[in-house]
Amino acid sequence: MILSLINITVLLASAQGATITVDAPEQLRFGGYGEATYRNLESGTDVFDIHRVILYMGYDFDDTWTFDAEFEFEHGNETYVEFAQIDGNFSDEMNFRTGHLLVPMGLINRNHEPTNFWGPVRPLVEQKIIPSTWHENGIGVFGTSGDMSYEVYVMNGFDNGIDFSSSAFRSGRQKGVKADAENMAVVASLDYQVTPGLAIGGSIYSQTIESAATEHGVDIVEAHLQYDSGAFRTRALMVKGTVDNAANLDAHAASNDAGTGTVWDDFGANADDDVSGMYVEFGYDLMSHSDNESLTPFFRHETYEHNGTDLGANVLGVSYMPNPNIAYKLGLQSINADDTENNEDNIEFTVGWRF
Amino acid sequence: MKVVTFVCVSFACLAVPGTYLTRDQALEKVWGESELEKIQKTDHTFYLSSNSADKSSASFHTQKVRSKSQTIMLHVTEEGEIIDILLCKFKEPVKYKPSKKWLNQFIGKTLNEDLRLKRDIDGVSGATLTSRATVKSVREILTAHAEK
Repeated sequence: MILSLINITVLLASAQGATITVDAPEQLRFGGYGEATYRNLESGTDVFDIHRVILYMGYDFDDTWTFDAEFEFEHGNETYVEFAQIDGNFSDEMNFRTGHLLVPMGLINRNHEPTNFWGPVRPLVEQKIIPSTWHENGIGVFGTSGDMSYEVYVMNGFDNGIDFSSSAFRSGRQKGVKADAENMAVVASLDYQVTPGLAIGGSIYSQTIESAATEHGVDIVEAHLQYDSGAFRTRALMVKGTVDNAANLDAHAASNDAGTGTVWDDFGANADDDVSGMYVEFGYDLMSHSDNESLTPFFRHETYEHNGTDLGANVLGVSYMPNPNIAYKLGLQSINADDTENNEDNIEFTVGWRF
Repeated sequence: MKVVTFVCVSFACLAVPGTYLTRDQALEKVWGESELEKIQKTDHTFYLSSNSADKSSASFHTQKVRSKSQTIMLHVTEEGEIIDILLCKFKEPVKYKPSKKWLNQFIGKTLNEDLRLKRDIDGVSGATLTSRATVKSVREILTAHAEK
């Protein structure tokens, strides 16, 4: 309601050409991020997409209870609630969270603003296996103790329409929209600061979903690290996901439809029960002498293995940040399928921002 | 049933008190219960213990991280070398909170051009804004401390 009143004030003032001054309550916070991406694709139509624009809002009820939410406009015409949560902040060690939550897995999903990673697009492994941005409804606890931090939630997980054979877990997301909550998932993450520049962590996801044929256990295990030393940074992540009896999933037959001629068509003919992947990336900030700017050439290598086919993807690129909250990112992405003639070289460019 | 048990355990743990430090509590961690003097330098108040011969002092700085603020206390020698750094208040989500291990990088450092991120100070993984805010606060306090 407060937000509505403020917006009305701004619109009226704008219409009259007046100077706009908004006195938002101290407890109310605003922010946001977004990214527009151009992709020059070797096999497919080139695309320039206003990929996502997100508005953040937070409100402090008091020193303990807070509300935080992000509202997403994706591709210009899709809207989602990315998260909307009530936190009870009781201590460093134990806090309580309910609502629509980010699933605490991987490096990108919890820190998905475009200024937090170098590539014009997110790593394939953190799109397909950890389907960022991944958000569902849940309840749980989180906190830190010394150099360790954790999150543990019970959430509505994937639904039984998951098309595992062609898109791994991405098609199983419910985004909390009237989510099927018959079979809840448990998600837990643990991170540890080993040295000032080295952080390691991991997470697990466990759920059982039901198809017409049978029950399917769904498990994902992931480990990651980030190492910063001066102007140098490296990140690495490994993840493995399994679905019991994936060939019997309701959506599997639909996944074998005629494809579009991309390397991704190689997945779908079969239905292995597992998918795995990893990536490692390195970058060096050539402008580390600057407090605000950075210019980081980077290289990322990732592998993705599913249904008997291995994919390798390399991205060579550069990220320029004229300000810590604005990023221009250019990358040459090369995807190779080991056992086929399918190869793609794509050029990608993204402008991203956060405030 | 498992979910119900889990939630009950969660609520049982919520009685743990908060861990933010007030100004007096932070200063007590440095000098115990001691008579304190105040010295004003530019916009910063430096606290010194009357009972201590080493003339070290402590000062506070609050800085916005993303949309919320953090407050640090810096304890420095008379010559401006950092003895300790304490995080007194952190209102951003706890996942962005700098660990003590990361903060300890500042111990022994003095104000110079290399006291910056990606030089003498490594960033916090996944929490760039926290790193930047902390370095800014440390430099602000040390700059004020260097004032005659």
